[in-house]
Amino acid sequence: MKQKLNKYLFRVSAHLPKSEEEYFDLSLIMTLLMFLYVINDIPLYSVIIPLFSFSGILFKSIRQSILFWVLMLMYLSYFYVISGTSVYVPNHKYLYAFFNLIIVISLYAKKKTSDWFEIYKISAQYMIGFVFLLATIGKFLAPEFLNGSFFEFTLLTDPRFFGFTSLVGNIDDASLFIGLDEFSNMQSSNDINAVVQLQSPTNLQSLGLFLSYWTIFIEASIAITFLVKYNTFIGKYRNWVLLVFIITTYPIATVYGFAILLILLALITVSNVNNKITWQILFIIIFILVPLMRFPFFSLLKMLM
Amino acid sequence: MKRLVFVVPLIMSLFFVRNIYFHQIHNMDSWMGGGMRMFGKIDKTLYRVVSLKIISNEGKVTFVNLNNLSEYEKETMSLRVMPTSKKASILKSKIMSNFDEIEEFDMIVKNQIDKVSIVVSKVNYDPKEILIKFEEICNYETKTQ
Repeated sequence: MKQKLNKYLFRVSAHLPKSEEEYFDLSLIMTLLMFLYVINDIPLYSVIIPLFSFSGILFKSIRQSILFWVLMLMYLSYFYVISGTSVYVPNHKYLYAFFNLIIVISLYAKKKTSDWFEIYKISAQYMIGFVFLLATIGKFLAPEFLNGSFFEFTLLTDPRFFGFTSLVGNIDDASLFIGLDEFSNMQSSNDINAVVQLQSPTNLQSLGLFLSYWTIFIEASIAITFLVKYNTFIGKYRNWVLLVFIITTYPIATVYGFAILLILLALITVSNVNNKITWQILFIIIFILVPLMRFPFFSLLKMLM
Repeated sequence: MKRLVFVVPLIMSLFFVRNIYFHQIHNMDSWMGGGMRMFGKIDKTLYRVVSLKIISNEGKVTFVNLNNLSEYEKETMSLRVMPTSKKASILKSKIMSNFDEIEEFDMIVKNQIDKVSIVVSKVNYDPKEILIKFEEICNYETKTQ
């Protein structure tokens, strides 16, 4: 079995980029594909982003041009970073601009030093580390997260979690959707004193606490493993920890835009780790499979039980 | 040259500090502003409600949920992300100048209005009672005259 797998990996690895230059180029193509997939919030983006992305994907000289990425950075910075306190911009949209900045820095470094790819790789690694470090600190600043009530509320009002709540909490979907309907009506009501009484599973409190501390544990683990050097004892486990996070988080909390960027960043960081080829293939496969996140896994599981 | 790897972490840390400042001082939604504080607090932009609180000369109070008025979606969304008196004032002026054309105000007589406020409310969850209610976070009040 192991021999067969190794043989298969060897065959697939023939199609992987060989040099740092090729690896960098592949990541640029994947970045443009990601932008095409996720930057579509307003009609203007559906005109501008394909113009940028198609030309970059089709022509290597364009995607390797620092001017191209500076223009893209200006565009993303204006619409996401600068406008971020006036319009609805989720955090991962800021990250697109920050990642674009890493590309600009790396293209600049490429002209100045032979270590440019190391700068690209470590920047991506630190970006993952800092996302999770700040997210973990942020959770300690939210008392309702630490006492479990954030997840109690989310399990009962966020339909993305209903499959999970229904399966683990032994409560029927219909009750959850009734609560959601009442909550939606409350938000559109003119009655500022309206209240909604939710129905909850008996184990809601323990579920909320478990999810809170699991989240802190897994996010802090990603932060630590990505912020230390790879050749330390814990650094070697960074891709495993990230994989556990992806598998346990995204089938429930389906934030496609963040998941796809996270996978791309992880792919950039695995150019010189143990089992490099396995991780490269795995992250490329997950990158391709991201749209599957829309599939209602928990509902299907519940139907089969 | 290797110090370039710290550029993005430094920028991210600045946005994190800015997020805490805006959240504490200006009631910005902690999920917003690039601070990476998503999935932490119950209060978030999408659950916030912007209302017009109308007080008549006789003291009668009426609330109109402005989230329902799609023509003001840009302004209400901006207030929900981070409420400021300037944003509230712009929205109030726009609404008052189109008052007669807005269906939701059909029952309200404009010249009998004493005060109007733009009120931003957040969702509050009581884990003991498993109850959701609104809590006012900002109230920008002005006399109409």
